[in-house]
Amino acid sequence: MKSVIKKKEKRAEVKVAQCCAKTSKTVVGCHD
Amino acid sequence: MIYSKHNIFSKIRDSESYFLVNPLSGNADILNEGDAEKLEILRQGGEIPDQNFRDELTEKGYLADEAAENRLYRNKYLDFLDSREKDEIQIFFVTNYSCNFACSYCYQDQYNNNGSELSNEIIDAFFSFVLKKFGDRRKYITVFGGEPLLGGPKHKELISYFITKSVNAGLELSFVTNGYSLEQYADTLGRGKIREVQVTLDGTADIHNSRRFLKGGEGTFDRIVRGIDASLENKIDINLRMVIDKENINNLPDLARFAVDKGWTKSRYFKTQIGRNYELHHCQSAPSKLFDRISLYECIYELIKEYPHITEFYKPAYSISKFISEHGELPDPLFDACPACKTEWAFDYTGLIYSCTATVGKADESLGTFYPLVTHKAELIDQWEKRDVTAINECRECSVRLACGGGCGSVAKNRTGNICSTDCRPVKELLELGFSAYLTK
Repeated sequence: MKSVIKKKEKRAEVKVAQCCAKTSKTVVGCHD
Repeated sequence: MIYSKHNIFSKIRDSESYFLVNPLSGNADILNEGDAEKLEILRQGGEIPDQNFRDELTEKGYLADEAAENRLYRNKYLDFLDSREKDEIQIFFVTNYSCNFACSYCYQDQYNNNGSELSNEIIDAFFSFVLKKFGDRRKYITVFGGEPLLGGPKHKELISYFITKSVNAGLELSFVTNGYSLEQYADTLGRGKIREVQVTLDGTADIHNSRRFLKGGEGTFDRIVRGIDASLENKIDINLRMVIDKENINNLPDLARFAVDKGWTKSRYFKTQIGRNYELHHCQSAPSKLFDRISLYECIYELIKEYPHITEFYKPAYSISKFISEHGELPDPLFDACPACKTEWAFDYTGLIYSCTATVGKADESLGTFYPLVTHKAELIDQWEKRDVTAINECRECSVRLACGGGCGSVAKNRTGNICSTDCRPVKELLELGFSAYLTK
């Protein structure tokens, strides 16, 4: 079993990957 | 120890390996066939003698103490609510529902323009309302339509006034436009603090012009391209959207090549997105041309294998795969994918308030008014505000809920009549593609 997570001393703050945050919130189609 | 309720486990596309992801514990692993067989035994409630393997699964949260996992879930949910309270709000404002285009697939084609028009008075009322209601929140405004950048002088004056108001309020603006008048708006936009402009090209000239044409039928490609060039030269961020269905998907490599050759993809002011053509509010005339969510990304995955230059133009997210690949960690658990009435609101020039871009313009979806009087439909707003995976019954036992977030409330409501119902995303299937594309090389 091989992890694809990088080990970190302290976990950086991670932005929630909302559906409409793929590129930016402006995108129309966060409803898809 | 039990097999975690949040494990997402499947075979990686075009590979003999498997992936295991747990959005709650924040772990993601690649497994060989032997380990995958052992995991499958555990998944089905069996026992395996390999203590080291069991220990590793436990350490990573793939095997969990049920009570401890439920505590972690509650704590992460509270973190999510706290984080969202501090998140920036995107406020849409629709200047008009009219448009100079007659796109073949427009989802607003049945919207009525009720005769009222945008005025400085309504713009004043909008800014007054927004500054009062969202006074203590970070926020920005996205101007939306119809087509918000129409060519007439009166409309241009109104947009100019809107930009002045945004500058005075200290708020950034984005625009969602078809791009046809972008070049002639360059100076006007230059007076505002523009976060980005979203423009749509559905392919190279012939393909684009067959789908996104003026009401008189004339093509629009060349003018939009000039508008993009002018914007990038003026250091205005362009977010280029390509709306895809089965009739133009095979033009994606050509549009990508066009953007690369134009030098757009090298610009720090240029980014892209793919929009799926789908039935939001009403049926389309040729539904057979539409992709469902997973088949679109399967098709893009195959196209990228054949035309790798597409990734210079567009890299699919494949659910959380791209995020893991680029950040080396999982995103925070997604308890809610629907921003409506939480981090997104929409307003229109008739004085109505809506939950989001999917509902704006549908009068029966209105949540109140900001002009001429301020009113609220509190019960409806409450339904939108409380929607998340903890409030949707079907989500409660779903293993992918913290990557899916329950999907879109408007699509769910169109499907079932109930905001608090599901709009499921094919998370497992997308991860099969994404691990293959980004995490096995």
